[in-house]
Amino acid sequence: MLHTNESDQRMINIDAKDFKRMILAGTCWLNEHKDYVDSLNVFPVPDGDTGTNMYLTVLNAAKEVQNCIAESVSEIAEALQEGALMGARGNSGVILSQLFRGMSRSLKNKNTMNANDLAIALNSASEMAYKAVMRPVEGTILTVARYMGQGALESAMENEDVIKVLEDAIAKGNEALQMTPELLPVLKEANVVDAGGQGYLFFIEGALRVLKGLSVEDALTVYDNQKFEKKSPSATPPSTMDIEFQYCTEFLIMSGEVPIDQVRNHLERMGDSLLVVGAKGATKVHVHTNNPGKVLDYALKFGSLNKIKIDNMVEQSHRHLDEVEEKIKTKEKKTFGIVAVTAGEGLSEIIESLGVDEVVMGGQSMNPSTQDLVDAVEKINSDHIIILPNNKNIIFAAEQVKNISRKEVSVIPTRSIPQGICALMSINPEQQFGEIVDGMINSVNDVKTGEITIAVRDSKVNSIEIGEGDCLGLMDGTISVVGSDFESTSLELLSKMVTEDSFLITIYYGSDVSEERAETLLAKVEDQFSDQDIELYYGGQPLYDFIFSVE
Amino acid sequence: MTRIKIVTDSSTDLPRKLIEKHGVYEIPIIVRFGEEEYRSGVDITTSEFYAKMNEHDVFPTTAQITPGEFTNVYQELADEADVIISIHLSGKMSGIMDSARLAAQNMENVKVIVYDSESASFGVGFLVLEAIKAVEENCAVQEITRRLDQVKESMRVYFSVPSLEHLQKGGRIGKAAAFLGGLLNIIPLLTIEGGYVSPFEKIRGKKRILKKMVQQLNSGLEELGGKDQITLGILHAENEEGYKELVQKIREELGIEDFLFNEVGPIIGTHSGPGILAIFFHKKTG
Repeated sequence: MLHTNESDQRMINIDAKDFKRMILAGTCWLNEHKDYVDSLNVFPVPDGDTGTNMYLTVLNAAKEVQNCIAESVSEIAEALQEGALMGARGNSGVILSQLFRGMSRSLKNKNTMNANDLAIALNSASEMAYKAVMRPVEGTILTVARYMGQGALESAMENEDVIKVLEDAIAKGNEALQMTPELLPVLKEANVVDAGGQGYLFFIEGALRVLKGLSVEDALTVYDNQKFEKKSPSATPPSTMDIEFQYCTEFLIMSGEVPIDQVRNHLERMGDSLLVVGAKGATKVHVHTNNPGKVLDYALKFGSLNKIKIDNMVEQSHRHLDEVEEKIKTKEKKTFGIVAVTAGEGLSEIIESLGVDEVVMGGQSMNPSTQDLVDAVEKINSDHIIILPNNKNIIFAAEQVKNISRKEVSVIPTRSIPQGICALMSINPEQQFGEIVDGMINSVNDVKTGEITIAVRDSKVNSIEIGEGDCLGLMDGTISVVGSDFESTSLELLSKMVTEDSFLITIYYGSDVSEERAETLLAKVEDQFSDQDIELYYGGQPLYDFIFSVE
Repeated sequence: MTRIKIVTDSSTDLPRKLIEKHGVYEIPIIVRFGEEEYRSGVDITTSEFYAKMNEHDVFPTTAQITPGEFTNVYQELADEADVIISIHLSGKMSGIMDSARLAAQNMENVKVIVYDSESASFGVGFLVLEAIKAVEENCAVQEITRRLDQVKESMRVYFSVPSLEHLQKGGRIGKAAAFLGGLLNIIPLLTIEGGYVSPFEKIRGKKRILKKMVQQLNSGLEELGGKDQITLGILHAENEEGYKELVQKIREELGIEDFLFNEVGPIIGTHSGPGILAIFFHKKTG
């Protein structure tokens, strides 16, 4: 329903189809800029990348939306919020899902949305997000969302054009974004704007661009980006009942001159979950159909085909169900189960040996989604589940599991692997579930965590100048030592961590560290800290060469 | 005047001389290394036992005392005693109690009270010492068993072993089985509860375990009425270093100088393995 004239574009109502396109376009636009958003990381350490997390969150939402056959804006909004909630990764992803939840709530029962509805939705998004965060901090995505909501409301009082409302909201949001360094000193010191706010702006900007008929760039990469799509075997299989079209069919038409609308119209009749997008001399087609041969025949008219992939979704689904059922059956019902997040095979074996039932791979810069955690929770044959996020950026996503799973879920707010191990050590299986949880929560503060990594860019933190490639020593998540080599940095970091009362130092070495190098460090640590027991284990974690635990 | 004799087995870890001085009859338990058999404390000393344990691949085992042996001992003492108090290793850990009870039922010329320590090592030994004291104070039989009950009730045991392997192989691991199988170097702090070896807390690091033992002793002191109100025993096997450090901590931090010390003998050693470090304490009676 785009009303255009020569000089200007106006639009009065957004219908379900428009809204769908806006969301897909927002996703593409965020994908296009996610690396930039990642680079806005305050600390130059490899950790939860905001851009990637937000993109993966909206990607999951976009897939829900794409699969949603809806006539009304409210149904699309519902799919958006549900997809984001399940796909939420990292704190920024969780907040984003809450923004969508707010939108969805205000769009309830709306078939279409006008300027006023849109403005209220944007404002309600911000209100919901503020409520979801325990201690809202200004200078973050929250501030940006709030300004956008206000900007939209003000704009909608004066005009009926949804495009204008979005433009005004974005302008106001940008204003807020530029203010974030003034509101949050860490941003100012690092000389960046808030990454989460920036990510949200990109998403809304993408939605605006598609309304204005502007391109959202390399749309192809959205669905090509399979790297993060690796579903763990724990993933909930799609129920066979829901699969109307059996074959997931994907291919590229190697031509830049494909009449996209015509292809789309034709294929729409042959299946669902349709996506036809063109860029840079190729057109990507994705469709679920019962007749992949006919689809390919048709597509051949427009050019040669490439990267053809056909999957039988019913089979996959059966196999999946069988596997999962088999697993659940063979396990006896436990009084309680434990899900823990970690990266690295060594660490994962260690925590399994301490009683963890399901390990979800992830950690710094690979935050698992809420869905991943829900899957792991559901896989354990027990009604009481403890989750150990073992990373500050995963705690919030883990908290969301409580609202989704029917099981009694308790999250121990562990911010590191040493904290997670400490919590596991405190378990006395003779105790009641509540007592165990309390004991675990209390134990978390008995340990200090040290991490050694390499600076990913030049930066300034706590008035310390940091160059790319410098060796960084973090104590409980804060950069406290900057050095040129890992050995001296490690020893200096440990000397800050170890006190008279410390009795045990544990070293977990990462996947990039040879055993020899680890043994060398062990010898030096033993030399310097004769009053403590010292233990060395292979952790196998990426990016962080050494993790220290001091108890 | 009732004549009372005390019988026990070689699981007490009390110095043999001390026992003999007070006329206690100690029945040796047999330790086997494959085909070789030794009467613990008679044919083999504690240090010989650990030397053998280190050189043998086979785990030693213990053989329980048979009802027949008990009958012989009780019969032998029947002439000089009206009542025999027979105090033994926990019935949950061995069949010795059963043998003693069977033998006791069939004694006609002497009354035998078989007393289950529900413990091991000094947990049995402290009961024997209490019985000696009560007998020397000319207490009535009823009074003696009442005092034994008191000691047993207030008995606290904390011990650590470098590996749970021996406890597991000997079938004496009890609920501490929950601590098996970790990849991290976990030193469990164990206790004896209801006659079984039980887990008390999972601990990482030797230094931490000593600290925890001292803490447990300290909180026990508070509950039981202070250091003058308790009897303390410390034992180890092949762990001189840990023992010395523990004693030093107890002296410095709690100001305790008096305690009974011995090495863990072959019977407990068979099931704990070398390296064990243990504290036993109870509230004094009277």
